[in-house]
Amino acid sequence: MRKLALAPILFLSLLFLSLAASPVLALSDKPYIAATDVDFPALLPPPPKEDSGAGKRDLQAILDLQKNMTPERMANIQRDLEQNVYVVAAPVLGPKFTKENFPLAGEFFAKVTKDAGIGIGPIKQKYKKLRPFQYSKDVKTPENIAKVSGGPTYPSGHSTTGAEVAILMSMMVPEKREALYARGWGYGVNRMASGAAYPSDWESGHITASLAVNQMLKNPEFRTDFEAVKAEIRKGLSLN
Amino acid sequence: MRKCFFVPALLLLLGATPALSLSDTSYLAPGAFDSVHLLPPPPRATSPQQGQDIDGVLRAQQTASPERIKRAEEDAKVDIAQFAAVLGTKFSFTAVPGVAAFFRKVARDTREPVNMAKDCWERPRPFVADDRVHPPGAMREETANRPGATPANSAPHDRASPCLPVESPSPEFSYSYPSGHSTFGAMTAILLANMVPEKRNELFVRGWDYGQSRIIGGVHFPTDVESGRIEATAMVALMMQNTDFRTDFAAAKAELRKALGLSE
Repeated sequence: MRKLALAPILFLSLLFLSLAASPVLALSDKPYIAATDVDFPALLPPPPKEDSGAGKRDLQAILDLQKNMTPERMANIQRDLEQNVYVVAAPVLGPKFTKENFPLAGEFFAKVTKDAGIGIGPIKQKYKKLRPFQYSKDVKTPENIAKVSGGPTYPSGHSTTGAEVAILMSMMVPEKREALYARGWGYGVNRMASGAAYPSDWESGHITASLAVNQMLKNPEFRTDFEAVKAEIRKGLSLN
Repeated sequence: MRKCFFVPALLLLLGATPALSLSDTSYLAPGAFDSVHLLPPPPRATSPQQGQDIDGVLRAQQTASPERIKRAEEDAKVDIAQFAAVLGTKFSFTAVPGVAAFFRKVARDTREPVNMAKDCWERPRPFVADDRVHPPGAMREETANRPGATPANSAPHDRASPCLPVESPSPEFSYSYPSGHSTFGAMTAILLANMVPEKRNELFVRGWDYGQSRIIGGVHFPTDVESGRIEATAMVALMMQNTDFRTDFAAAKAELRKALGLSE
């Protein structure tokens, strides 16, 4: 009898306690950017044709990056196959920058990347450009990377993610601005060195990221979420 | 007597060119594009990235054919006529005065963010940073600061700003980062491609090649050029959200398509 009466009360109070203990900040459930906000297809250049001057420079750049490959560089390339804020920013923010310690940051940047996908997706499909390793036998790409990189190469999603993290994280942690940008852009360089993206994919990824972020910054719901993530990160890194 | 002669001539001129009456407010609100925070900082003078940037310039200079170098020299002109190679000889200032006026206004309205980013980073030109870089022809002199032409540094240099402290308020040559020519080339390509989608590919190739000309010329680093393109795209995206811009763009587009004998 007692048990029956107590059970729901206990359950409710536990629920309440757990909610109070960790104020779970829910991100906006609406996209930060709408397809009609920015005309990505009108703004981004068509990718260079492989046999054009710019196309040949693109391929040569990949071959140059693949020269003198070391085990360390290959390890970094493999690490950067994964696409999330922790992989991009931990080399700058430190090993404590993990999903466990900064859960909201991961959700937020995943949402930024997903929502910015309305910019990249249609362009990838519009041109359906082959990956460097699909086009040229001279390009060497590790099997596991080739296996998961079958979609069109232009623009580079990895470079877009790297630039999104660089731009936004620099606004949250301006103390590390220079290193964050170097890392965000360098993340895309590793993608090129893996043979899965051209410099023109890299550049267009940066353009896409800039367009998407510029637009998102005008969205009040985005600003609210941005401030919550910024607070999580600065508190967790003991920055005032 | 002579004066009287001018009046009908003037009227004729006005009649012959139904001048576009462009908006008298800026297409881009002041501060709308925060070029200081939204572009990456350029590599520091002593960084490995700077070394890669210099290598990029040297390689471009060494591998360019004499014809390509000639084009780089021609591309030093910031002039939409540089796109006549794609649109044909009918694309001239006299044939499309409204289009020319529209592009002049776009250039004017986007100048502030470009200058502010340059003043923020104060990056020296490749040929200043490394004496292995040799601009062909007059390209070096063309980047010289004309005395009195440069206004005071327009960027914020307070502690809250990422900008470097002002070290050379009146440098011999204008700053390198980001590339204004690349901004112009990319912006012009995007706008013209949206007026003449039939030539979209060629226009973008020309506009992006315009940026490459600056690297071949040894007057810009690859990172200057990339940031110039990012800046251009971001500013056009913002202008496209401005009603006055869209009205003027549509009028310029109509004039251009008519002059080129294309359907409306």
